[in-house]
Amino acid sequence: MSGAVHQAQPLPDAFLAFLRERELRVFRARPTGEFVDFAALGGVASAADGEWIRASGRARLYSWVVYRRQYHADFPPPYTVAAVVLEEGPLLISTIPGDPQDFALDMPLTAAFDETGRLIFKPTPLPGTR
Amino acid sequence: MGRLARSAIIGVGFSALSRKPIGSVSELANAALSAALADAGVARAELDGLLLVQSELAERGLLGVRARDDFGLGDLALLNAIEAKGSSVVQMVQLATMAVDAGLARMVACVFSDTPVAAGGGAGQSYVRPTAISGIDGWEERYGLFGAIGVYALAARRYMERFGIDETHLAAYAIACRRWAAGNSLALARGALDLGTYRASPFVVEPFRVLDCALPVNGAGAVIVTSVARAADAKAPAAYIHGMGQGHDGHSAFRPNGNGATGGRSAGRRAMAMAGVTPADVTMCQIYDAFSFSGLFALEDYGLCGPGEAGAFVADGHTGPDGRLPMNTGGGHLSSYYLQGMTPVSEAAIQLRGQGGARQVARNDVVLVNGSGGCLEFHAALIMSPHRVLS
Repeated sequence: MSGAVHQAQPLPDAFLAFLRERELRVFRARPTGEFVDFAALGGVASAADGEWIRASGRARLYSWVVYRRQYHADFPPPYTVAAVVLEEGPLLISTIPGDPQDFALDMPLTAAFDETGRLIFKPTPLPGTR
Repeated sequence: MGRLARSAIIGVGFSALSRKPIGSVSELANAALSAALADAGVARAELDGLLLVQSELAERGLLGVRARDDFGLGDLALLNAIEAKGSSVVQMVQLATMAVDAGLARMVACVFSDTPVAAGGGAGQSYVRPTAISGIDGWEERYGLFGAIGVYALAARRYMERFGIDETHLAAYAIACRRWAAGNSLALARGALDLGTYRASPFVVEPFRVLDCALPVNGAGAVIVTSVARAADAKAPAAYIHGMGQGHDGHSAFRPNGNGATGGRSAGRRAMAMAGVTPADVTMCQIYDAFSFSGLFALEDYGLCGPGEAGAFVADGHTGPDGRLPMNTGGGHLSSYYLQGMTPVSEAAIQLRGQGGARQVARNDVVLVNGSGGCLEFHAALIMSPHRVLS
């Protein structure tokens, strides 16, 4: 329903519009059936060239850094910036709550929204733990 | 059967280099130009080409084509200002080479100038801006990914985790550069550096400490490029350019299923193919190291080390003084001066012309020089040699 509405927008805008509704979506191109990297969305001529699919929310940790220096008033250090790879393939910059000491390359993550509605990724609990 | 070089650098010059304000971008550029012309023994009136690069982060137009007027030059046959981020300076030398090779110009000055260090001594703010890698407006700002440092740190962390590289390897790189800087009287950071000092350096963006980052400087550097034929008349030995290549492959370093290689790999292959050499022939390298990681990574990207091997290679001393692959012999961007690509280009020319003084290296038959910028996106490389003909 909202998907049809957002189909009319430029792709990066549509991605953000879905997120405002707390939906993480990825764009699947026709006819290749491949999910399009976010960085390549601007190169897709039209939303009619594919469709927005709801992402599984499963991801893995590609890399992470910890800012120790204050660059901006809204970002008091320390804070973590992460690059995550969605199960569908595209890579996103985001953040992960928790102690970076506990992070490991390629560890499983799950998409979530923080109290401000910002997309974040949480470490996926191991089966049988909470 | 040998291959003749395509151009020659016959002069190298710098302005004063300082961590304090010492003049405008244009004034410093003109001072470096004068020094390079004097070094080449070439009169200003003899210049018929001028190429310019300013920092991409500085206000636009600080070193534009009107520098011709400021520098008091005549009817130029070639004039341009180049912008390709960290690959600009190497690209500038490539353009000068093509121009003299094609007969468009005979004597071309290539000048870089920058004034990032403010009166208070800080330069960090010069490099602060959100770095876009997603292509979605404002996305990185939401997560505080500021500066190129954040993106390079992300690439570094993945590289380090994949290959078991730790802070001792980053430190070894910074220490090797500092040892080279001790022999470069122009280098701004020449004090002894050991692992303890490195570890005492504060983190900026983990895994990078201050000592993993290029050393911002106010100043300029210039080289004079001419034809191989004209170089025979030069008053001092020339540094010859044999190979040129570029590689621009987007965010290949962040391709989820890629092997981490960037456009640098293509740039290196292309430059080496033009020169008729292989990575095994390279006896020295001068690398654009905005961060310690950049130096380690380039060794692998350019095929000088296998995947994951650069950390141990550097820690074993192979890139330092007395090592078998001397690298960034003036101290590089970390310990000498961050002239954004003019540092490796000028250092290659200094070494090839035998002007290295205390840091002069004996074995420099085939030198790899690179420039890289953006978020590991834009790359250009040169193969240089003291020999007019490479066999």
